[in-house]
Amino acid sequence: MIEVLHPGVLTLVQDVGRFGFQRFGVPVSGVMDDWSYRIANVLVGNDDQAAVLEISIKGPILKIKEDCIIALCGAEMTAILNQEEIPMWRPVYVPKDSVLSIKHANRGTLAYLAVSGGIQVPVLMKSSSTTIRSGLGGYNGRALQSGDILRIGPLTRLSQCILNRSLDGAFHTGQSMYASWFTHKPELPVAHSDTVIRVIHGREFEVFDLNDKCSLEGQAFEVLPQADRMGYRLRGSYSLSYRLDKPMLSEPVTMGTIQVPPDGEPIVLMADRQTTGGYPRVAQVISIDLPLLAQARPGVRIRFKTVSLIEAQQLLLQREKDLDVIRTGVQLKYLESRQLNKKEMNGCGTIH
Amino acid sequence: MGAEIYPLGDSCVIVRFGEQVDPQIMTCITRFALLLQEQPFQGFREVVPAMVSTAVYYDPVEVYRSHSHRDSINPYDWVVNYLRGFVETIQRVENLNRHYATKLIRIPVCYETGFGADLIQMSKIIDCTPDQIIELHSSRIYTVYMIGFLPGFPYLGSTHELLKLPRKSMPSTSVPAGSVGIAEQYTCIYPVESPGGWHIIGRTPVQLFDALINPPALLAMGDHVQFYPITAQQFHEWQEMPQKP
Repeated sequence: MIEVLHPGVLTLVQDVGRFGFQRFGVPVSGVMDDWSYRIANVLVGNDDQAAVLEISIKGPILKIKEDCIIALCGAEMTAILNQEEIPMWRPVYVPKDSVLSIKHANRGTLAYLAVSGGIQVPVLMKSSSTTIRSGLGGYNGRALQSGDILRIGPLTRLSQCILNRSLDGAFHTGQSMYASWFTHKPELPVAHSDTVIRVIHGREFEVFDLNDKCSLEGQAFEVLPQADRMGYRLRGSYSLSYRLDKPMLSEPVTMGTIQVPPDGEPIVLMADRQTTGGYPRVAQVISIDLPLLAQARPGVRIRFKTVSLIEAQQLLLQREKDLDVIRTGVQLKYLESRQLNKKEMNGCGTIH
Repeated sequence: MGAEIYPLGDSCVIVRFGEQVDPQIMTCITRFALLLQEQPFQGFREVVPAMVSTAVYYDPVEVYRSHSHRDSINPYDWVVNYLRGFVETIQRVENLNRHYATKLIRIPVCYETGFGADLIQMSKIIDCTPDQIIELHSSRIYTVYMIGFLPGFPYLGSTHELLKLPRKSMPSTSVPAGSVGIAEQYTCIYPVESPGGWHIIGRTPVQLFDALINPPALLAMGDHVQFYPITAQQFHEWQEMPQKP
């Protein structure tokens, strides 16, 4: 069980998202940076789709009332466990009645706190994700508040092994106990240089009045302060103008769809987007670059680069192989050897 | 009738059946979605109809691992081939007459003062009396074109010629739950309180969305809806003791 002493700026229970209900107008929601989320779950031995806390900008102060393993992945955030700083991107042992305090993000904007056993909330429409705008799912359909009590789910066998091994001395010991290894940290957007986000052209790309300067790729776009879980509003030096023969009908959209309203300032639709949209879709951010875009805080400059759909899918396949390697590495380290089979004994490259 | 199939990024494919909403396209979309839900592929996530097209969301990694790696084609091409088969199937004669469940739902609406904030203003714009608006609105049977914008929010069409007008230039910051609106060639119902740009002419006590039941939305694409007027007293009685519409 976890007690929320202070909720932070915006802390939400999320999992991979709510699929199967968009035809009823229910947004997918779920995590914005799915890579950091998945790694965090792997590091604590959770199933791939366990619920976590998505932390924005400045994190919560939590009283963790049972022994567990946690991992914090995503934006660079200072995390203090019982007055000692603990590292990100690795499993950390938490003794019962600890206080965990997560500070401001130094770089990036979203971090994911996974707890062994997963955060347990009533499953609504097959998911633990929160859609705050509609008050659906997660913890009472809203962001966490002081005094909230979060339940932790049952441990997987792997989580139990990590917990046992951490206590047996497999972890670095000092004031805090954490693994002496960590996974490779992905790049985060920074203020002083442009972040390249790869896209595929949208169906309505041709209706746009683009030239060398006023184009999708020829200019940088700044993320505006209004950016939120529904969409990231952008502003370029030149607005993207277009002409429609007749008004657009409502069309399907997805996370990463770049819509352009009449004012010419593009909006990239994010996790809490509505299920359909009525503005021209100039391009689509490729799935593998959504975590990087999600981490772009207001003021960050984005440059778009067009790639092919084949390349976009190949990148996803490669990324999945990388995750398999990390998962196997964790299993090799902590599962008792009699529980491993021959297949799992091969390679664990990206563990440092 | 052919269908255009194109990608919406790397994890979604759109099947587009036409350019304008019409009953035949709606039938194609509904049957396509039903067939796909009955015969999904490994990697299929969901199918979401919109006015003239349907989105098919998929996981390219799962499609690759389950199917396309064997055929040495990329996940997108594999999904397109699979869906083309369905497009052909729904057009074959034996499937055209296949029964699929749509329903007629009669929805009570209170059009009295205090229930439709824009009724008077709308009557001035389109030069119909409020009673004429109510008559024109409640006398026809509408089809649900799409559910979107909010959970359970239906786009119903199409309204009588005389009732067509653009959305409000200044949207309202707060429209009460159950409000019935008109804009362009559609009429709608707000399932919950929300900002809104539609012209509100009345309010229904019926609940359009309940996250705890399956399916959670009262209406689905292809269903038919007819509104009928009720008094303020009947509205309040319904709220006290909800009935099934």
